[in-house]
Amino acid sequence: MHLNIGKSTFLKELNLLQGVVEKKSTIPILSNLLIEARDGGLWIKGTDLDVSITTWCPAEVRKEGSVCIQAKKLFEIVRALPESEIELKRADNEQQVSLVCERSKFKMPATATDNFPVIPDFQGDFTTIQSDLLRTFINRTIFAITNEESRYSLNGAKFEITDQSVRMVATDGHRLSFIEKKGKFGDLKLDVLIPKKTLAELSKLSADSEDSFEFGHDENHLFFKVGKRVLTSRTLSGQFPNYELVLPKDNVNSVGIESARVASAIRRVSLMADERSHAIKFDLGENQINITSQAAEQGEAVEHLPVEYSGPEISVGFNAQYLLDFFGVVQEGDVRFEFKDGNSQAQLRPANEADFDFRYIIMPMRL
Amino acid sequence: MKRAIALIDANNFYATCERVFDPALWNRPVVVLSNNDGCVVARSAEARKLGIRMAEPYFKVKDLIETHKVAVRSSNYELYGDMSSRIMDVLEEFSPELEVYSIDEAFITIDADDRSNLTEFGKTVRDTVKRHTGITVSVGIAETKTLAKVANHLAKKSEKARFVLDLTESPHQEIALERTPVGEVWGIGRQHAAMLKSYGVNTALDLRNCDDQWIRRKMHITGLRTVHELRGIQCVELGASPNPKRSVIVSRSFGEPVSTLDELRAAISYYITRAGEKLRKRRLVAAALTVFAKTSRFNVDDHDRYSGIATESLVMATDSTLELMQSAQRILPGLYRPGYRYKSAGVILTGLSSMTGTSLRLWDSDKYERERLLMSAIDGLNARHGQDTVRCGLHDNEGKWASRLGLRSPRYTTKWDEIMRVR
Repeated sequence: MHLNIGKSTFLKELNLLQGVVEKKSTIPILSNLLIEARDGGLWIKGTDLDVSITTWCPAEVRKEGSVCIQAKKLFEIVRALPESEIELKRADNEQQVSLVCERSKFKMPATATDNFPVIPDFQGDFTTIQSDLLRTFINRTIFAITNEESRYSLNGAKFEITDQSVRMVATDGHRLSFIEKKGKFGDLKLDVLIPKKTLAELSKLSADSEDSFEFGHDENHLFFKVGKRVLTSRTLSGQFPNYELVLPKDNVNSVGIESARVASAIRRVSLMADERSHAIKFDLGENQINITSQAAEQGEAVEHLPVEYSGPEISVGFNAQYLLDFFGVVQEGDVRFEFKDGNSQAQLRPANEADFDFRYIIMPMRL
Repeated sequence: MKRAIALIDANNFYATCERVFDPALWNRPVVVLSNNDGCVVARSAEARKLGIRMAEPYFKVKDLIETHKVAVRSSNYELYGDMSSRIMDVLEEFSPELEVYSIDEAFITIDADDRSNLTEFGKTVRDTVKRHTGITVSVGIAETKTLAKVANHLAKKSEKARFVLDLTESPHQEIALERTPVGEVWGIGRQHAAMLKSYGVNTALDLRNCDDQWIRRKMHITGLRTVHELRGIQCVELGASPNPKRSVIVSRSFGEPVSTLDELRAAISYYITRAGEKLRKRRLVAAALTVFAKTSRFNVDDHDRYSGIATESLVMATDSTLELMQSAQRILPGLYRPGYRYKSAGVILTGLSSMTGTSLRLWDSDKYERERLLMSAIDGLNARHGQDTVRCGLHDNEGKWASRLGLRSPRYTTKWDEIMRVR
């Protein structure tokens, strides 16, 4: 194998693959990238067996061939090189790869490619999904996915495509994020669970490209293709809970407030919240919300926000971090808080958003 | 306002509890054995003088016990727990600020301006506890919790102090610190003690005189707090003990070894029941459950030895015995290996957090709230009518695994049918 490639071109692709490759995998080959010089360029593959990325970049291929190289070390070396052309070479039967850039020369161990896992390929028809739609969906749900690995079916987001709409839903059992866009998306019908790591990598891929995604799936895998890059992911198995059951239907006590104003108030009050529970309290009264917190031996905080409200008085506790997660993705415009009472789930949503139906459902806290 | 801190510590607590209700023990050495009558866990002063050491296996001291007619009791935790709460009730009358540190220890604060003679105050506390409960306590008084621990330790040892020692602004403070080995200072663990000794810091006084920067480098901020406390500067507030509860463990060695999964299941269910009660009493919820089972470590043949352990993160943090039970029953078959004779088992609840400050559940919230009401009702019934009056159907308390408690004294204060009878 022998090729020349521009540093920035190479680095961009290596950077994308870093999130997929496990730093400390129990299977040594998985900390490597498979590099193949062919088709007038360089194919690079990385996988953790659940999520894989295959990417291609143009290169001057002088001799075709393939090799496995330690992913993190290669990335660190290329990142540190000057903006110039890199020569990558491995002589036949040699156990090392040499990397030369201007006056720098590196030698790295080359691992046999035979043990690198075969990444599944998709042979069916792809469906187009707008890149910005996918980006918005992921951005507004990924934070609600549980961090508990044992809750397997909640370790990802539910992605549904029906005749009428496309939806993404994520939950950790205490809060739920739901986003929907009405409309018909081709003939595709879908109901899958996408793992959290896949969503994070997709988010990176979509941030790097305005092109639409080509999407395909088989029984166990999802395929997202953008340009020459393909992300392949296992689907999550398991039963996602019936989320429609917990979408509030009678939260009639509603109040509108400017997102930035309430977010900064919550941020201030949460400074005095208990460090473990992040508990803050909302007291909703006539034309006013009082947000309070208190922590043993720390003190207390209170903030009064004038609002238009004439419903019953409601006192309800929340995990401040859960609320701030919502305001992290709804930073502008007004939001609506919708309550039933102090013991039932509250619903938050942007007040004036026409493109999407975005709802955030959050359970109260014991105070 | 000057404030002092008193540490009140019951002397030989378990043995003293046994003596309170049994005059036949008053002039005899007494030892209390651990669960299943395995080891010595408490000794009266007389038993200590005979050379019976703490944690010594019962079979090793059996001859000594028989020769000197030492009274032996199985542990009676229900009695000790109840006596402990009576002591704490008495102490609460002396100070509004009380920190129950363990079953037989509590810190209280004293307004030192009002007490011209703190030693007299200590004696009053000691006499009142003795009069109201029959338990003898030692009282150590000082400016900080760490110094109060030192004072209490010496109050027990010193004949002159006679169980009450006030070290506030005392010329004896230096002598007291000099007589306290560094490893016995509150907050100094075994590793830090070894490290300090290797640098020639052998006593509490040496530690008190250490350079702040050096201590901070070697033992971080917690070590520096201990040093400042030894200098009389209050760094550890009441109720802010250095070791908040991080886990609940219930484990026992079995009365007889068990071999079948069903027997292990029954034992684990019993331990889960106890662990669930502990959680609810402390108003905590657990996020993970560990179950373990072991054969005897004294089995000679390696093939007869096995130790299985497995952990499950709970779907939702819980204090419900029913949910904990379901999780344990899922875990247990994975660690069980047929063909072994299991000698002990247990459960560990971790990821503890306060029930106050947990978010409600989106799904099955009503079911969980109903279970909590059920648990509360069961706890109430069991508190009133005795442990396991109402219990989950998986254990009957009478399997081979049940601990031997043949030498347990009656539960005088908590069971109607075991109450003392006066002829």
